[in-house]
Amino acid sequence: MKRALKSLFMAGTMLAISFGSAAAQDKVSIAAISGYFAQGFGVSIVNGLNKAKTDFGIDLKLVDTGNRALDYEEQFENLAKARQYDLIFVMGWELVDSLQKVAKEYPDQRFVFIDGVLDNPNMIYANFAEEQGSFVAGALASMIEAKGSEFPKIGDGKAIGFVGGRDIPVIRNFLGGYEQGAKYAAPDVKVNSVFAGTFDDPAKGSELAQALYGQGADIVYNVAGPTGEGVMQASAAADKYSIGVDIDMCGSAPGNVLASMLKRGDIAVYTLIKDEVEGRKVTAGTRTFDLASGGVEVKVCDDIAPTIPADVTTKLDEIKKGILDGKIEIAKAK
Amino acid sequence: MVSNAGSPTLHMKAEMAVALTGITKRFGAFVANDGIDLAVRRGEIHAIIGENGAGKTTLMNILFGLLQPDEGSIRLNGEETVVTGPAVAIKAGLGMVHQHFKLVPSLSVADNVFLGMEIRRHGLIDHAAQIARTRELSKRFGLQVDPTERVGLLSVGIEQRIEILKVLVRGARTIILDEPTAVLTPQESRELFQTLRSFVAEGMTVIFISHHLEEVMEVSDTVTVLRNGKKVATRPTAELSKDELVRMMVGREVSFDRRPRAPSRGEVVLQVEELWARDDRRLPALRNVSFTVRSGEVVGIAGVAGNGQTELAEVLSGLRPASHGIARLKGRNLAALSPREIRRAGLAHVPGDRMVRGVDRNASIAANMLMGRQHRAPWSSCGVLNWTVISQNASRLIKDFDIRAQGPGDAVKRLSGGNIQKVVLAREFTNDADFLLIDQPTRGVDIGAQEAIHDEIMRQRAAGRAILLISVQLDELAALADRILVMFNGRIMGEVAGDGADEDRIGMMMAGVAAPELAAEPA
Amino acid sequence: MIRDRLRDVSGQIIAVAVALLLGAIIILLVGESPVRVLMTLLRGAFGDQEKIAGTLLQTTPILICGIAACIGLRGGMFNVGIEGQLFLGGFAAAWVGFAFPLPPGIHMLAALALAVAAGAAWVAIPAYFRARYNTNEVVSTILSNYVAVLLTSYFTIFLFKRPGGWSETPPILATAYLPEIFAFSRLNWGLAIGLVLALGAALIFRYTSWGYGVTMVGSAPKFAEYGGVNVKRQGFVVLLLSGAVGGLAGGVETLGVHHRFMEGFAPGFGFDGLIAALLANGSPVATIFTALFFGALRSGSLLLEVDTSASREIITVIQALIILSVSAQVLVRRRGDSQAGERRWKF
Repeated sequence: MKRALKSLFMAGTMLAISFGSAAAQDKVSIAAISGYFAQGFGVSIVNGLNKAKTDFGIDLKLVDTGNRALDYEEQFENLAKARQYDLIFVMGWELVDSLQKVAKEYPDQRFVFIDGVLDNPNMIYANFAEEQGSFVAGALASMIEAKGSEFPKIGDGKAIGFVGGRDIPVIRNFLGGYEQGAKYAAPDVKVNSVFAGTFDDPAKGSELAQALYGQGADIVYNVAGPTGEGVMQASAAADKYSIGVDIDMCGSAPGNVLASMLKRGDIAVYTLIKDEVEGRKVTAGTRTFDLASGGVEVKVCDDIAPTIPADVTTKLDEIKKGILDGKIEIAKAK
Repeated sequence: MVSNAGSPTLHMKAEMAVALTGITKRFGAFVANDGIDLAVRRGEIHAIIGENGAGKTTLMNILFGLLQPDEGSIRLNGEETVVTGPAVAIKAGLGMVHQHFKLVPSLSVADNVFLGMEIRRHGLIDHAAQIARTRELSKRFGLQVDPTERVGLLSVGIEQRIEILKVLVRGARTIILDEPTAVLTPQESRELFQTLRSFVAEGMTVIFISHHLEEVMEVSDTVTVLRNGKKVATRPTAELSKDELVRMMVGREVSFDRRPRAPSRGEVVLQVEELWARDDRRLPALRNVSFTVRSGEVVGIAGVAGNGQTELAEVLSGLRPASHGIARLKGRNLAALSPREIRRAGLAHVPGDRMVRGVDRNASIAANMLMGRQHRAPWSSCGVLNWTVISQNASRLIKDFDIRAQGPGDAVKRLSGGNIQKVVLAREFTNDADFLLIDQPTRGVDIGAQEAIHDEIMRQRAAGRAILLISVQLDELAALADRILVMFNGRIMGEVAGDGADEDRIGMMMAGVAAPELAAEPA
Repeated sequence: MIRDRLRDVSGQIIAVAVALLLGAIIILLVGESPVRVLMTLLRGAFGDQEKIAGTLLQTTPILICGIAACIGLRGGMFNVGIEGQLFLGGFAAAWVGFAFPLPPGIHMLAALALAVAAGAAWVAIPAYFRARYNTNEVVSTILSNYVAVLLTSYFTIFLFKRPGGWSETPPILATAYLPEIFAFSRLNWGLAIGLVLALGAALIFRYTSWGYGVTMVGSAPKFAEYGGVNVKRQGFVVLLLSGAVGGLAGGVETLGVHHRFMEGFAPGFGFDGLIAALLANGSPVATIFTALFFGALRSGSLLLEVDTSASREIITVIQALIILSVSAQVLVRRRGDSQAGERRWKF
């Protein structure tokens, strides 16, 4: 009898639980829209979204915009009209116009624009302190370069390089941080920078990187999307060093990739969704993900890490600390 | 001579490389091959000759397994064989060189020769062996090629040699060549004939399709003549003369059913002086052709197909430039005019290849009858078509020319061959043109329609038109023409008066025997 | 004649039906319900007035590009370069739109006129080589697409970039806007331009001497040549007109929707238009319906990806299947025709 009661009680509880969760209308619902989910930074965002989905059981909708400008507005409209999504993550500058228009039509819908800030105070911006990460990358590169022939594959120790996708403000911000970091850590090392003019041309990237290597730069930092893939390949071909960006690129050219400056899109979206799930509603304004929050970081490749001289590692840690406690100030170029 | 119905006797079996009995092939209502018997002895060059459309290629495609006969049987090397496909034929030692080559331009000669049956060593293609074998074969049979050269860079004549080598490499003992000289220069043709002779010297058999008398006389041991899908005869070449051959090709039963006529010669409408032109291979196709056509007369052009008639028609209608000489239509130099201007100057043209040049098969009768007059009143004004007029006009022509169709909206492709030709005639004969260029008006047309078409041509003559009638059918020319010019190899061999048309003399000239006493003089 | 018509149309319908059937099977394979996908597509394409307007908005460039393709097909010319002509037309219109202030109306017309000229000029190169050296226009127009897309990218990024903008030109002035038809949608008078073009092209082909000549060159070139039509010149003119309409399509997109030129803004419309025209068998009026069909598919697919778990790419797959079945059907029919045609002479 007691046992029967107990099982009845159990069944009741389970029913209540299942009923309760079915009734929970406040289950967080997230959409994300971009044309870049399959590449680089987009992949890291998808990773973060999926992790959030596993951890918090949120509803998740991914929408690939494709590449027809005509479609964008309708796609935002369809998402916003459903009034179903708590947050809609948006990535990609070509979407800005359509986003602004639809955001105006649906003022209650919260949009999170990733990796940039627009002139709309009602939107949420997930921003990255690229200049901090680039500063560290620049410092690392210039210190290694300054070692000259002490370090394998390094030549005269006078210059490092930078290949940007297009000459636009975001990329300038990377370059600025990189240059300041290089100057801070090893003032004698010069930074040679070029812009490919495109994010979609690996051949061009390879060509430009080879030119930089030819001019005596031994380490080239790429901030150029798929164009940058060519830079990584060129470093293998020339047996020099490259530094990856956005995601971990150590696998692109093992032994020739020094490090990657990671923009942790996954951490950014995960953090925002976590806040939302835990009841801290994300509100309009800019959220910057920096060294402190783990939003940007420089990851030295595993195969290179043991060869980094101790003084460089020490100095690098000092620099990071300096940035964290504000002793080192980095000018932004935005 | 092979008896008509009898099957080959036992001792002949071994001797015969190929024996076809009672082969019949129909395409719809059309009988392409009608009970054809053919026996080819081992070790001979056997020519199959006949006009275009006589059924030569169909017969060979049946022999090689590309088509299945509706009736009849095939024996290869004495064995009854059902040739279900080329693979069966190749296995039985047959090889066919088609009119159109199937080579891969980016591969070398040797690679092409061995394509599909590469010589392998350790699983890889043994190029050296392929090249050596190609070289050996080419030397043995006088087929000069460089095995290492890329096919895309070679001339048509050499491509043909490669096709022959392909056939040899596949072990053929009986080789079929479909109009092999059609694409060759005279020099290349002579070389080909030497090769063919070297084949029979080695005990191989050659079947060779042609409509050129000269080369048949020159190279073959035996000739089979086909006409309208039937076999006319098989004879040893040595027993035949050229004009006999011509007669067999174009038909013994030339009926001189001459149309009555009143004399009505008027002014010179077309004047052709020393005209030369080249064919698509850039070889001379017209050589020094001169003649005139007057209003109210029908001038016939006789000749075996392919002796320059097509090119003559094309030059006169502005579709092919003359390389030398002059043609004047009512005093205007045709060389200076576009096809459209020539039409406006007074040409109406019934083309020989009516399905390609004469009509748009997919368009309606009305639309077909509009061609050439779409810029003129009453069919259009200020560039806008008047479909009511066009349609009414078409309806009237359908009635006047007795075209069997439901109405002007009917697609031309729904009509029979004879009715399609009537659509062309109706359009061209009602253009008020002074000069009618009529090329093969009754080819592929049934007897009833032929009569009607001939009547119409005579009506045009009576109306004072100048008519140039090109035909390979002697009876047609004899029935209609006032004068007949005979063409051979791009030249006019002579002129015969229509009412004195003498089969033998025309035949001699068609075979290339000059008749100096009858040489054409501008009338 | 009616039987012919029926046979032709039945071929197209079978082609589309086969494609949709295969599409349904694929949808089943990815674990969605074809019925639900179909209902969502319909709702996304025609669900309410905004959706219908959205469908027409998608239809407009496909329709205009389709007319461009029809003009070529009629004259026996395969203009596969509409894509490139659209890009150049789009850029040209934007340039007039932002660089030359003109009175309202005139400004718009001037921008459209330059778009037309740009499209025609761009196709003039392959058209000239076709007429002069008999170069295959399919290859040369396809290749000219790449040059056009990259050339407009170059113009946009290096010469006319909006300061601080994302590889796009400055916005055009409002005087050059192609006005919107309704307040609730971006649908603009470009649709009307497309419809007028379709009807105009149909009338010209049917009711003018010139159109008759072009049609004959397309369906029986040797016959046309024999009948006195200047086949080479006609081919050149036809390609030029086709390119001009392709340029106009770009102008309409720029002036009606985007109000500026963006690098790589509209990939694939040229090809969609070509498919619509092929499916319509080269008939401009039928192209209105095939373009609407593709426009509805595209527009519906935008809701599809939000409301179901099926990917929008399923539409691309269906479209590809339609191309396959249409071209297979065209090949079969051609073969039937040519056999019937040659049978008489070649034995």
